[in-house]
Amino acid sequence: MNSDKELQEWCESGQYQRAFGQMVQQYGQRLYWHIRKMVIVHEDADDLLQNTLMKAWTGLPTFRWESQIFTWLYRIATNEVLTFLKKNKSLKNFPLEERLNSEAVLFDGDAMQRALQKAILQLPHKQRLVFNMRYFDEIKYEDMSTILGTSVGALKASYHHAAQKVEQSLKAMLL
Amino acid sequence: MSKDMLNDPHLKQNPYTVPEDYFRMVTEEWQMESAVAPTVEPEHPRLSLRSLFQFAASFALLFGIGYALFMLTGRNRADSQQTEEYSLFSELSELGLSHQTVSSFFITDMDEFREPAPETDLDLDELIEYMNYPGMDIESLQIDNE
Repeated sequence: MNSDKELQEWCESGQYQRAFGQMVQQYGQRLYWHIRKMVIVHEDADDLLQNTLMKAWTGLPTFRWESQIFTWLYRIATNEVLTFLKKNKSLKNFPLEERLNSEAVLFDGDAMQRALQKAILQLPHKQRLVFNMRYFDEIKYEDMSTILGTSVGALKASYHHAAQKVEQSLKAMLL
Repeated sequence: MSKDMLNDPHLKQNPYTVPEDYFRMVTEEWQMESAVAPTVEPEHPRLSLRSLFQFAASFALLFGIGYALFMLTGRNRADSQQTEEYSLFSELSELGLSHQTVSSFFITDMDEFREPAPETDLDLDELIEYMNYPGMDIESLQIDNE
């Protein structure tokens, strides 16, 4: 696994392709799952991942290396997801909860895991992002603050509130 | 159900799946894509010393013109106001009136310049009784003094 410093050295010497190939290998899966947990359906997640990687590729020469590559990539992916959730018209006809129930979704979790995903879908989009990033990805609040542009305190409060809501929903569904 | 439901490690497992070899294909695709697609090279505009001086000079000129206009219009307004006051006093003083006398014409602290008394609605019966002066013809409002 290459560090950010190595990637930076490759970029500064003009070896963008080499650096980017390494970035896709190192971070591609994490980015995909970050997107997938928000949009549920694989095809949508794939489209958004492609958009994210394209933007990262075109933006790489202008990246200042003041933040970590990981937070920069996550920020691009997060913006793609939020734009999709806000603007995609098909979500009105086929909401995320229904997508979760459809057979087309590649999902092999048990009833409890499905109930958890349904409970998470009850949260507003940004709060869902915070919950997923903390609960599943275990991203530090400081990194999350850079990715989402929100203070650490606000993120902690948001996560705590989200966790309470998710637990209550889970109890209601499973009991 | 316990309060710490979310702490169950089973729930933290990822329940979603992907098509077979999806991630390998994504990595290979992007290795090919990045070999072909050009990166956007950042532009580094160079500012010459000459152009910097030109910019500074034009800014100074604009600032100077604006400042001069401001000073000119401000002075004229004050001057014209003062000229008007002097002309009025000079005309009146030519008539032999002292400055004190002239100033008194502009005193507004006089009863007649105070706010008028509020109007009151008079009762018609009271008004007629008041007007019912001995010898008073209420219709013509004339008093017969004889």
